[in-house]
Amino acid sequence: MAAVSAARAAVPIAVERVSKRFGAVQALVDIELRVGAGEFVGVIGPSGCGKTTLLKMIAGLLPVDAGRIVVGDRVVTGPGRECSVVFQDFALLPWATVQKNVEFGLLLRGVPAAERAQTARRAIAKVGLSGFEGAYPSQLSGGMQQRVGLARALAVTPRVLLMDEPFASIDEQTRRLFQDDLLRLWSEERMTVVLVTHSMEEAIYLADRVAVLSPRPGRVHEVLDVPLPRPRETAEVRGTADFARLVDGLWKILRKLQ
Amino acid sequence: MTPRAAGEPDVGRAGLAAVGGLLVVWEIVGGLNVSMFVPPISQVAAAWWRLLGDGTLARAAAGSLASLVRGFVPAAVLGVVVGLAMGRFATVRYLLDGWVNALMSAPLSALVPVLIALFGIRDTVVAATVFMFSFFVIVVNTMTGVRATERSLVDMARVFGAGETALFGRIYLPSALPAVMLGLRLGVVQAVKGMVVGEMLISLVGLGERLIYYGNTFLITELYAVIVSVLLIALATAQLAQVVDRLLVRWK
Repeated sequence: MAAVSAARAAVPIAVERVSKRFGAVQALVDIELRVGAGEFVGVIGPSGCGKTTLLKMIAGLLPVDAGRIVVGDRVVTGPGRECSVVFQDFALLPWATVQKNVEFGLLLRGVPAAERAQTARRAIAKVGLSGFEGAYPSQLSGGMQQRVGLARALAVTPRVLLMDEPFASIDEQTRRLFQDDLLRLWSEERMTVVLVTHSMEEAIYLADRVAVLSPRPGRVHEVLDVPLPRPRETAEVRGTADFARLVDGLWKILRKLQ
Repeated sequence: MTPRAAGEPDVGRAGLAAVGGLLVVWEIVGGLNVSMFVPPISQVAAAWWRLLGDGTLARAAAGSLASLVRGFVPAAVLGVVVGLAMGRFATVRYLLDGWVNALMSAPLSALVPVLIALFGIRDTVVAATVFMFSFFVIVVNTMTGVRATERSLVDMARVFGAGETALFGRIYLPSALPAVMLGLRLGVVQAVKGMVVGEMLISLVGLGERLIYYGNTFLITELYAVIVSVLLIALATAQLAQVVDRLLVRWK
């Protein structure tokens, strides 16, 4: 199944002793995080712990002050072709249709128009938005807009998918369905995923491991294993005692950090 | 300055209703013969029709509109270019911000004598006045539009490998377009003001010259007929700008 859609293989990420400072504020100190190829890692922590900063540095949007980040075999010095990002506020072009939004990454990467249109239509179908190709973002609900954001990210067949609180502004019911779809797509596409979130349930439900960051300055406080069986989207994992125990364990760690 | 909000009432239609109401009141008051400065609107209409028929208005308006175009087109092009540069490059902004802000709020009519000294008493002065009146509001709105570009859109484009040119053409420019159009709409209104002010001060050409002439010779109905013409031109240009705006910013 993986070989059909993913022409490119997932790659590992290594964050090695990375520090970042904004003026007088030390945002992150000596961050050490390794994500295996095809692994799904959640990053959680109190507000202001620098989790979005970490994600932006992996994406090459922000330079590191010290240390280095390696994605695949490339030391990150700027945005690279391996990574796609899903943004908290969706980051859709308000003046472009769903189709054009999903094509946008392909357009910037120089994919010819016909292939662009076809690839985008496929990505739109994957996220369940077929029929909405001609709609503008303002005509869609928040959940649908983020599906467009995900389709745009998937259209470039990324080896690494970076997600910055993608479900934060989506209502609970939509969010759960969307999380299941994300897990299904991840198992089909074989990407390495780093997901920044502030939801403990979300981190436990989606990730193989959860990195807990401590605030001011941000450090990796602990990395929690999530030994829940997969596929989780078809089983009723959210209702199990194991799930509840893991969420509670995460809460106990986070409570001490507040 | 923000782009036009959704659900804003139709300004054109509301404006027409208000004008219609005023005309009725004017006709009644004019009929009461209160003052020679308030002739009934029907007499003004007759004067307007006469001036239209003998070509006076057409001649004056043609001169005025030529100056309007000669001043506004360069103001629009240059204003957008300067505004984009100020929005995108901090250095340009620091250099020009003080000047733009000072000149935008300055009483620019005071500068018309300088223009007369520069260009002589010619219609070029009118075009220059039009330029001066409309340039700064276009600059400021364009700059504001560029600076209001969503940070995450820029990040998104960079993730997909956008360089400076692609960022500018595919993110900053379309993001700024509604604000640019607002600037042009406000600019064209300013331009009409500049046109009248310029022509009245040099009192040589166009509708402004007719205003001064009929005012000085107490031909009050004719004076009002010219004022009405100026208002019609102002309304028409504003409407035209709005139509262009809607065509270009359909996604709003």
